Amino acid sequence: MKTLNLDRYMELTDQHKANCKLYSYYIDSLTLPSKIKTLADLPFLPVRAFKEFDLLSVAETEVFKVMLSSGTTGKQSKIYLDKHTAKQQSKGLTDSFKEYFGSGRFPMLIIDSENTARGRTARTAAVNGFSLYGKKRCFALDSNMELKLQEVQDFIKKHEGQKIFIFGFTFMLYQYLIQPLKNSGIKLDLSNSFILHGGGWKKLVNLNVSDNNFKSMLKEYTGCGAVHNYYGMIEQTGSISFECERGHIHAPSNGDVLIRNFQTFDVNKYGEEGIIQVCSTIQESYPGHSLLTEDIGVLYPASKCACGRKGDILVIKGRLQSAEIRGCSDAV
Amino acid sequence: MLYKSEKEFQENFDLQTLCQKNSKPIFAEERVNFLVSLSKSILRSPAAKEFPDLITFGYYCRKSNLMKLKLSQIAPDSDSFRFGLGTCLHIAPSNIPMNFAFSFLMGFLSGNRNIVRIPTKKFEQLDVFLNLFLELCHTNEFKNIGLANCFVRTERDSNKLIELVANSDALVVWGGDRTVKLFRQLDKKPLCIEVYFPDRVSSVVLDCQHLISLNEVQMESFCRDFYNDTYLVDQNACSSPSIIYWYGNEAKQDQAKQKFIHQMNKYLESSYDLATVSKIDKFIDVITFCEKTNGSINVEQTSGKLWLLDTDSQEIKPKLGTFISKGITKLDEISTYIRKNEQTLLYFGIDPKELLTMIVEHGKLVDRIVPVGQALSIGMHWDGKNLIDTLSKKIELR
Repeated sequence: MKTLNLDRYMELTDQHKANCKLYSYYIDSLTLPSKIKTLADLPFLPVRAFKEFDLLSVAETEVFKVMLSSGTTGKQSKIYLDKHTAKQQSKGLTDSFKEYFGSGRFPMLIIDSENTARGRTARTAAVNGFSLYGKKRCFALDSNMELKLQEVQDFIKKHEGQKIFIFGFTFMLYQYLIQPLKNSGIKLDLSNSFILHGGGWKKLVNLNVSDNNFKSMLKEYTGCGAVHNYYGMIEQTGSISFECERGHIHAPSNGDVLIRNFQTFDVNKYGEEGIIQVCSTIQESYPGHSLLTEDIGVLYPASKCACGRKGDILVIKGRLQSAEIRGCSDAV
Repeated sequence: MLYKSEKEFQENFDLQTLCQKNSKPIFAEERVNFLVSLSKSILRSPAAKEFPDLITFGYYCRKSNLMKLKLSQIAPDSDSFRFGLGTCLHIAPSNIPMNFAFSFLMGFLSGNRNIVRIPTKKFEQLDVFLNLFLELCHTNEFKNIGLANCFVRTERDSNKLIELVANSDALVVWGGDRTVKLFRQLDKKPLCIEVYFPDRVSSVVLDCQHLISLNEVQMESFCRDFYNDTYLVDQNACSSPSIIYWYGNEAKQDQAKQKFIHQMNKYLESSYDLATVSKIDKFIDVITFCEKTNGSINVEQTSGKLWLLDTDSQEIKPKLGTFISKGITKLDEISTYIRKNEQTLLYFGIDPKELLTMIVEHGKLVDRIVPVGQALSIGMHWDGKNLIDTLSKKIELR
């Protein structure tokens, strides 16, 4: 697995070491190869570190905004952005978005409530981030997460003949769009549009809903056949892996994806399941250019997909199970 | 008796009924007989066989061992009497499945009525234990024991539990600093005897020459003992060592360390499974150590499972197979590293009396000096206290 980005990652490692004390202590503590020859040699930071520590590589006065991850399972990640990195992130996102869906702004139907857009969660970040490519936003849900069917139908009618950009978290789409439509037997006409969804499959896997089920239900109840998943995280906004028109998620051109062995943490070959590591060329205000996630995935060479994109194909397989640690200092 | 949930505890538990049973003398015959029967049921039970910790408990309660314990507590011709304090409430840790049983055992042999708060988490060996225990309590012979001793599952902030704390004559709290702090603040009877087990740290000193001289079989047995002290509980028990001292000249230190790294990793390969998330925790821990010491720490990642740290910090407590590694040429050097809450000093190939002398000389006390392999072997003494003594009172007779 060679990458043109390696020099840039090494440069970022040095830059963060020079500017983020805790990061430099961490890197200096590890046993690292004497020379970094491939991506596999690049040191990583566990993505969970952003939940436990304040990691920033710019002066606090330079911080332009702090992004927080969804806090449903306890602590939240804190991502410090300066103006430059924030700009790089939206540029990275725009480039990728354009590559997959074309340029311009689309009438945008958001499968969420307006309250979400005002929060500070990962869903907020995603909704607002992708709103850059939408116009005349319509929030499909009210504050009780009920589908505002009339408004949605009006919105579709108003933009008849135009390509509508439908966005939401995977689970939100299933629970608050597909389910109510299914229950009421109403079908929408969004055949001309495209759907982008992300945020993870965990809840749908628990409900035994596969990607194929999901897509066919969307097709049936909304008429939309262009359904694209994405894999990305607030800790690496701007370097996002999108699902192509042939149904494969590709690593972004401004980043790389690696898979590491569950036991040895060595880099796996194509086709071997392991822990996902994500790299990004654009994160400068915080040390987020090489992150070990707690997601499980498999990589395949880009050549396996006929879409022609250069990024490796990533198949997401779920999340690592949390561990039950033995010991005596807990009596909950 | 067993109260399986907060609801059952709220509805059915009655302290007054429990208190109708009097305190007993320590090592009361009926109680010893009960434990002997319990030991037999455990050691005979096919379900218990899978759980070494339950079997250890079974062995601990054999007649011969109980008699030995009794002798160490009561001189045969003694005319003094020790009795239980009354109602003893035990708060057991949630992560070590059988700890509750040892806590109970000490309260029980001391002659108390016992209420044991057991972990809310499901542990199979705990269920096996409770079934065997309750079965015995249903026999005519041991009916009274069932009435004077019970196990409960409660919410952490159960009002009834808090009320119970206020009405207990003795309270035994495991579970580390956080839990200790919580229970210290609660109201208690003026005469209540409180026994706390806060977070502690431990270390091990290895004689390098001795380690180097071990043959393969001996080395394997050393690795097993070391494993049982550490990896068996994710190195997260208070008595699991967090520091390894390599005692010898520099050449020997190096040689012993290499041998240890090689053999221990070999042993761990087949016997220790560390969840991937826990392996990631090891990296997070390194950042925590860097933050605490405000600097980098040299981490020797010998494998995913065994890491050695080079630091003088007294503030960090590694776990999950990460050890602070210190070479020493004189045993005296240990005294400079002994931490405020040091509990166990394990040794291998060294005369423990020498260690005791060294420690006493420097006035840096520890609670236990025990050989490698016995870090977790809990007994009558823990954290420097004789639990039978602590949980009973002596009637003075002149």
